[in-house]
Amino acid sequence: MADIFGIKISKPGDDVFTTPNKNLAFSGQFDTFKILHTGTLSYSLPDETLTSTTKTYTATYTHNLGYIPFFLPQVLQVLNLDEPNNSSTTFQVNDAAQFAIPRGGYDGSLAAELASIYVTSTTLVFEIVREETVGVAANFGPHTATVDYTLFYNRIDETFDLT
Amino acid sequence: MSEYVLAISRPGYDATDPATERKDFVFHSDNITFKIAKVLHFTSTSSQAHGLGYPPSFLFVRERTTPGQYDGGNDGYELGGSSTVYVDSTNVYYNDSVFNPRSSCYVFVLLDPLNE
Repeated sequence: MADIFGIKISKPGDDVFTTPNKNLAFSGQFDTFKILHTGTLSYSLPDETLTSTTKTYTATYTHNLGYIPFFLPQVLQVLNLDEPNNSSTTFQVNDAAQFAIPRGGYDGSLAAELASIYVTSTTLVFEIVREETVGVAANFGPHTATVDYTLFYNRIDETFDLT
Repeated sequence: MSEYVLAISRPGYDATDPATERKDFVFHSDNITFKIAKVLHFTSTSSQAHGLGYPPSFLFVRERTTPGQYDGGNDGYELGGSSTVYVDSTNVYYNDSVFNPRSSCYVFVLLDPLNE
């Protein structure tokens, strides 16, 4: 793309006229991330015993953008390592963002507290799933699950090519 | 800090004050800002050329079983384990899950290299 007009900003010591685009501090040719909102979503989970049951709890932030915006952190079925153990310890999902449960569980049973984040065209959703799937009673403790997030204006469900 | 900079601070912060922390700048020319080059769309296991000649940084979301809901991060084993997005110097690759296939995956391809 050879636009006549535009803004390019190089890093110190680099020639803005010859530096490859990838090394520029900024180029108006490309999109940048624009933060819409940062915040914390949390849910106060109850003390409960589950047997062959799945329960889902959600906390939401309404953005009403009308399209799918990008968000962080990328959290998908993050495992609370303290449960099911009747724990009262806060489940801070950002601290455990890379723990995912193996299929079948760690010891042949499958009882777990799992956190995910997803987005729709109107809402950012923090989802906590508690499940017990093999018929052995599992006690989940009363505690708060919480995640710090960043939501961007950037639309990701629309293809484009700026190169 | 270099002799000349272009710096834009957030509202309420003084861009000329040496005490202003770098995190409180919207832009600072001493630092590279992520540059989004393209968004690619996948609907099944496949690859697409990105044309950059080096492995680029990338971010992605995938549609959940419920249409209109998008999450990020690789599937854990419980979700099938085989679904992932990765890159090399030529392509962006999308492997859909065998056990939990997704109908749609969008990938932000950034101009910024992973290997520099």
